[in-house]
Amino acid sequence: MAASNYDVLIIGSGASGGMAAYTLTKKGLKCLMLDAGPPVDFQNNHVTKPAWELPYRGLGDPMRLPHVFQANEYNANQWVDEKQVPYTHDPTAPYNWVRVRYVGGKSLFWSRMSFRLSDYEFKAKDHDGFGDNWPISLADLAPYYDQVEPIFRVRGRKEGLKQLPDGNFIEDNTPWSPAVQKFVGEAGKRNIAVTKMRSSLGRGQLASSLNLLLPDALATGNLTIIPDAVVRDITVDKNTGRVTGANFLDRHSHRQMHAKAKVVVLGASCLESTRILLNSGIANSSGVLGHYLHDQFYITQSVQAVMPEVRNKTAPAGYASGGGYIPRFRNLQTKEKDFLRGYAFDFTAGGTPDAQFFPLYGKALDDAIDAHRGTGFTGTCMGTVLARFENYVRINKDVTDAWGIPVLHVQARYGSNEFSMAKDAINTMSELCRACGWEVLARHDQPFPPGYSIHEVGTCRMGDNPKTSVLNKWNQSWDIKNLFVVDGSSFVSAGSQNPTMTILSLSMRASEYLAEQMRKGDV
Amino acid sequence: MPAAPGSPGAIEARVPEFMDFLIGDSPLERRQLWLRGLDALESQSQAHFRKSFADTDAAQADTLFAPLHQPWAYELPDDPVARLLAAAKLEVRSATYNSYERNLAASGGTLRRGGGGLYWLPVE
Repeated sequence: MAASNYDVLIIGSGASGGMAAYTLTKKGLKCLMLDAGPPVDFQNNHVTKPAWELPYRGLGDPMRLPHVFQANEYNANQWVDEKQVPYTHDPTAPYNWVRVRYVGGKSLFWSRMSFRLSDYEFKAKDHDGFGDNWPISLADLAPYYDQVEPIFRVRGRKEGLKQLPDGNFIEDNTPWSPAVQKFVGEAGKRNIAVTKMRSSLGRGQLASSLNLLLPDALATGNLTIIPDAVVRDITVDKNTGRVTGANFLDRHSHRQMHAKAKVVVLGASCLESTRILLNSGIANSSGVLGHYLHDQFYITQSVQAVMPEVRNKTAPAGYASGGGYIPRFRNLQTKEKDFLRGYAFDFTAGGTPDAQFFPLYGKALDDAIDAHRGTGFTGTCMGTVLARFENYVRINKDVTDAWGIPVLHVQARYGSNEFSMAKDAINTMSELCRACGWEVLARHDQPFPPGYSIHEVGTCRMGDNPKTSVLNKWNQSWDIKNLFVVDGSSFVSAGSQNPTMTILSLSMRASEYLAEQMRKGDV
Repeated sequence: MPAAPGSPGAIEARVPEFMDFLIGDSPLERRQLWLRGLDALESQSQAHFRKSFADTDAAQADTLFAPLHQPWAYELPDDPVARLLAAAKLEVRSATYNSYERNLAASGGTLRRGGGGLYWLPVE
């Protein structure tokens, strides 16, 4: 059994927990890490299978993972079993809570899109009057983005855009294909910037806590990891009000144990961290714990266009290939639309449109698909979701998971701001495609259910005021000095950018602060 | 998904039997989409051609398949036949393309092992 004299108990081993371990162990602190899932040999835990060897011929078990639109029959075992770890939601307000329980967490499977937030996000209230500012600015977090990006080996192109700050990149100087160049030109006429995708290259097959953070932490000799440890709640000394550790159950035997440490760092992912705090009944003098749940709304294949010049393989090789990213361009200088904030797109050229988009069937459909191979141009819309108090999670005491731990109930809906934004986004992308001479085969402007993006943030927000926030600007609980929450639950607001680089940077910053406070004896 | 020379169609790929299995394993809403859709298709066939849908010829079936010639929409239509056809188009097509029979024919009878996708194994 693990020793009991730990400096820090870290709950969660994904991006935020992994970065906390990476930072704290290098500062000489003895850390115990608990993760609810098993360790996995990522290199070898898969086999190549043809679809006809799968029970559902690749179509997937229709009863499994109803909330995980990203699931298919090949990857179904990556995701948390919804029967083992259920959650509830308003039947009229679906929520897709997508989870992974392996050592390394969702960082094993993320899409690697790597962006910085800007002061349009950190100081959003100053810009448009809605919601709250973060208690920090880009200048406070930039030194940490600077350190995180080389660890994850982020590739991108510097553009000097205020709304999408440049990073410490492996520079991407690859040229646009002619088709994409045409699109970039039409976007430029409308003052819409287009840039190369910013993506973490990682090392080998992974850009994960598992291969980029935990090995260095383990090499210090200061980290012990206990997998298969399902945390029930955080324990508190009634006399001092300080946290003392956490109760957890072994995933297999359900035996309950306690892990003790001087400080607890929660990095179990946004809603799991909040769930643990709510089940613990702590850190909520503000009353806002669980509230302000938000994410990005996603519409994949929002516009499906075809490039007639590529039809029937008439274009030269390499004419239509590659992709890019359109950062937010709305409401930057002035409020120009009937919605606040903005949206982004990532797009690709040169694929083949799915069969569903052709109004044909049988041989005629086969012939049409053959004629349209490589003609496709499509984009995924990623829109800012406003952080609203009335979108929240709470504990549902009537339902428990496989370990008897009460589950979350999610109450969240998108509002008029998101729906207006989505319409504008798809209208704009459709217009751009038509301006390029392309045919819009299909389009839709309805966001997928909240949670689909797997970018949920908020519910344990930081702030300057302990009456309106759970954490201070160092991700430290206002109520309990030796409790930190370092994952996306600490966000005040989000943008259209994917949150992972920000989560990693916040965790590094908070962990450095914690280490210094412990060195001074102030925690 | 009709057969073509050297290319098994849905019947040869045992897709009807597979769809029976898939729909039987589906949630109630999905099962109802199929059952109501098939009932409605049969009713329309009787109303238009005074015969069962199974007895229609290709031209008659194409008349009933008019919804498949409508532009794609994200929301499923209200008409039960249109809803059925939208689901069937993708599932019958995928089940055919992913079948052993289709891939055996496509590989010239050798059916080289390998290919397919990466299947993530369960981890206990």
